[in-house]
Amino acid sequence: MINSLVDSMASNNISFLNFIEKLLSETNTGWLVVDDNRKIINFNGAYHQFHNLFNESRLDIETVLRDGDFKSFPDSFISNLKRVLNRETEKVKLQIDYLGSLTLSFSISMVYISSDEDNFEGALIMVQKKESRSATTRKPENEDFYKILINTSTSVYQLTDAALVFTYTSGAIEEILGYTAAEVLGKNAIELVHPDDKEHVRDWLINIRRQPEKLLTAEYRIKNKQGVYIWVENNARNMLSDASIKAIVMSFRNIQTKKVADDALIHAEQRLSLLLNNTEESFILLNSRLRIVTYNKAAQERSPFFYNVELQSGISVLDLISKNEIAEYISLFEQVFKGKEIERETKFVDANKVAHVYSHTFRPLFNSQEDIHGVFITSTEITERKKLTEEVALHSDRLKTAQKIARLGYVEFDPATKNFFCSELFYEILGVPELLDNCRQLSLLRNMVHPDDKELVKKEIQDAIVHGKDFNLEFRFNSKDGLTKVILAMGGSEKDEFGKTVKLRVTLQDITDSKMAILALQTLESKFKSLFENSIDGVILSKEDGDIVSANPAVCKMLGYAHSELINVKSHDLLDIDSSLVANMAQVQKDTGSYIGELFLKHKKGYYVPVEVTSVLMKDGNGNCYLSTIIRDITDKKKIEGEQKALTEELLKNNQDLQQFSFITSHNLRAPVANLLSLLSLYNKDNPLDEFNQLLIEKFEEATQQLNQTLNDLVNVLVIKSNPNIERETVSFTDVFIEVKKNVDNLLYLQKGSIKANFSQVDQIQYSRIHLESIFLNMLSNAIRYSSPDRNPEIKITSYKTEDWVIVEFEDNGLGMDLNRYRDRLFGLYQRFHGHKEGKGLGLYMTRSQVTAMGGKIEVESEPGVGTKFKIFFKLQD
Amino acid sequence: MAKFTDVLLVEDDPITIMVCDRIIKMSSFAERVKSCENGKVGIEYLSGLAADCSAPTIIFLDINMPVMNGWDFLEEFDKIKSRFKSLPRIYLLSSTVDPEDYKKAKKFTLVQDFISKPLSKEALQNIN
Repeated sequence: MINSLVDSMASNNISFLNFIEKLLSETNTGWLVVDDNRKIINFNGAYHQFHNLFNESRLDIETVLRDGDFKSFPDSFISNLKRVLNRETEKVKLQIDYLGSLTLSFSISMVYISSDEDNFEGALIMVQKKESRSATTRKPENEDFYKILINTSTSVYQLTDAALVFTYTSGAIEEILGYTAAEVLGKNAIELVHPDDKEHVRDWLINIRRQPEKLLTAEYRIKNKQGVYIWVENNARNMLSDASIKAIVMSFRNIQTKKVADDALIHAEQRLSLLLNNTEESFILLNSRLRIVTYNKAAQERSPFFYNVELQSGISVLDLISKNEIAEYISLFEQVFKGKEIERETKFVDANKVAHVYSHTFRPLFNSQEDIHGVFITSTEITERKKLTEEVALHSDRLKTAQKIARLGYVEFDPATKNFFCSELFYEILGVPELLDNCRQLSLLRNMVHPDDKELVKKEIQDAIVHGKDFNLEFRFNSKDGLTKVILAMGGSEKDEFGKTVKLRVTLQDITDSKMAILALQTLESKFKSLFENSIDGVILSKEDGDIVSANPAVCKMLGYAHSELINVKSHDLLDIDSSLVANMAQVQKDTGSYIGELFLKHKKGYYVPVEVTSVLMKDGNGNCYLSTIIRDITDKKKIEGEQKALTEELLKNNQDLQQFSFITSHNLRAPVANLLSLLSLYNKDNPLDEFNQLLIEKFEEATQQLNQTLNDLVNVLVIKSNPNIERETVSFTDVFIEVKKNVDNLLYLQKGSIKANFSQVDQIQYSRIHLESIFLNMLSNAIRYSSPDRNPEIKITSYKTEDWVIVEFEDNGLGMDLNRYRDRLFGLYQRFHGHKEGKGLGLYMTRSQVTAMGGKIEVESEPGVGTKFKIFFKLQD
Repeated sequence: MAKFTDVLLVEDDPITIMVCDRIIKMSSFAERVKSCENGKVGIEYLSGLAADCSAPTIIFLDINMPVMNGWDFLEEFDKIKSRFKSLPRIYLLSSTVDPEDYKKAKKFTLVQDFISKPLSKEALQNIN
């Protein structure tokens, strides 16, 4: 044994003394090591006890063993030690008996030991007690014997009185709990017990007192001197009634290690059972006779899926199955007992007609002698795995089909060997013939890549091989039929355990058509974009809530906003909410999803711009609603429309004028003609000398004159009407007034009238002199002609200017007229209002024609008996 | 024996007045012909007639006259007609070709017809 330890010492490289210490500390043998000068190097407790039997003096390290130290030691001890140290002998064996109140016999061995490593020479003294047999045979009345026995035991012996107070404790208590005997004596047995164990200990103690002489055992924790609780096992016997003892005798020992191991075991068992009962896998343990030893919860729950009978410990596994399976099972178990693992699948259809597949594994159980003493059956549901497996089987077929459907070509390339495999579609897609020679095939493929893309393709493949990078590249390929195809190649590399690329897998797709489509789309998009950007019409894209998403430059310009400003405006901020047009638009939009119509949009500066909008509600791919609105500024259109309307009105008015003119002229021509006809019908042809005939001829002449006058007037009117673009010249009001006044001076004189003319504000206009003279003459003669008989005529002529017009007012203090009655007819042809004067109803008609022909207008204010004011508006020339 | 006793002619043109007067008399259409030179004179004449007497049976009315034209006369006459026991029949006598005038004439219930100038014997024969 020492030899093997020495061997282990050599390999573990521990020092010799440490080794000795280790060796001896683990034995019950007492030992002492001294050096060659008999100086004590080390000793253990057992030796110490032995020493104390013979000596009063203390045994201390570093002290020297001398002859006289051993009071009652036989001389042979030191003399033999000297012999060993002097190398007179290797080993000495001797026996020493202790002859006290009881006789103890010790066998002592002394061995020379040395260690070059520690530069040590000395002796090892080992002491073994040989007392046991003789001790038990001895009579127990010898108290010393017990004392020795007790003091050399590893158990602690204690005595308590009837009140369970310690009256005696053996010295080992110091070793186990660290307390001295004195510290324990007088204390109650329940003290120092762990609080959790107190109740249980109390019960135990009560039982001890109640049941004399019965050995009762308890396990509990006691606090040691360091304050740590340690597990002890205490055996106690009530000997109170024994006259020679009169105490409760207890002996306890330290079971801390055992307890910890027990706990670990229990814990492990619990964990195991927890594990077994919580796992999805089911376990059944069979013994060598195929009887069920144990099984877990999963096995119990699932057993109806596989077996006819419920699981039960002790029954044979063969009882679980149907008879026709027995033969199969027996051969299966034969294999298992030969040491093989067998797998078996069963299928089970549940109440919902769902099929479940289970895999059962039968494993042999070996005992420590490597014999098979049982079988371990585990069952697992593999339905999903099974499905997957089946799918994997289908996978390659499916992949092929998928490749075909997706028109994917596939190529595998081994960079080391340059070998490659291509799918049929690969050749078809590229339009390349399949060649037998790999090298030629490679160079053919390489040559057909579009020259501009060659570098790119080479680099991507190189990167994939060298760095293992995945690639996704588009390149052009000139296929055999002369077409340039766009190919999308996606590839990845497969590496071995050293990270070296062993295979390159690439799929190919002909994306020529989609590429073309994308290009077309992009062109379309850019076209649309340019349309959007350059459109004269405004385009606004807004969300349902009115947020403007996008607006083109035209609309920004139209409404005076920068693009960034417009984006922050809500579309309804641009609308006049109160307008009925807007309400109508919202309604129509809601009902039909679109709107075409005219609106007013608010310019940034606050005024409204008339626009024509075409808006359509639309949804994008994500279901968001947008309103696309095309806006056309119709300010100009509106202006033109306004002008057109005015023009139309003017034309209509002119037309009415002309119609009126034609009615009136025809009336005025018909009247004299009718007179002539009447006169003719009255003429007495039978008697030309009839007196009445003379009168008729006079009237005839009169009527003819009337007709002639009417025709001349009409010609004058027609001249004015048919020649609106009469030549303009610079005409002075003062000049014209002076000229015209000459014609009315006589009349004015007769009526004692006066004229005040003031042309200080405006004196010159661009106009037709003849027309202006005619207008002035008409105005002045009317003012004088229709003067009031109650007062002298006073006429005021004033000229002034506004933004658009030069205005000349003719104000008189004449008769005046009831405009409510005559306004409509005032300027009409042949309308006369004064029966007693020579007016023909032509003057104001002519004046108005002359004014309107040059773009002007004429207004009148009058009050009967007060006077009349005519305002003539001459349009200012640009 | 003339067809009617009193005829009023409201007309500004002297030749027309002369011619009408002559024709009416020649065709024994009326015993008496009174002429007024415009509407205003006509209304003044009618207003001046004794209360409760008969108004002229027939009035020939020109439209286009100074001071007060035919339409004005019709409106004014409407205001004084209540004083007459029997109301006259009014015939518009005009050279007008304006359709508006024909339409306007229909608004006045007293207006019997439109007679285009010149007044003829045939036209008078149709008035009974």
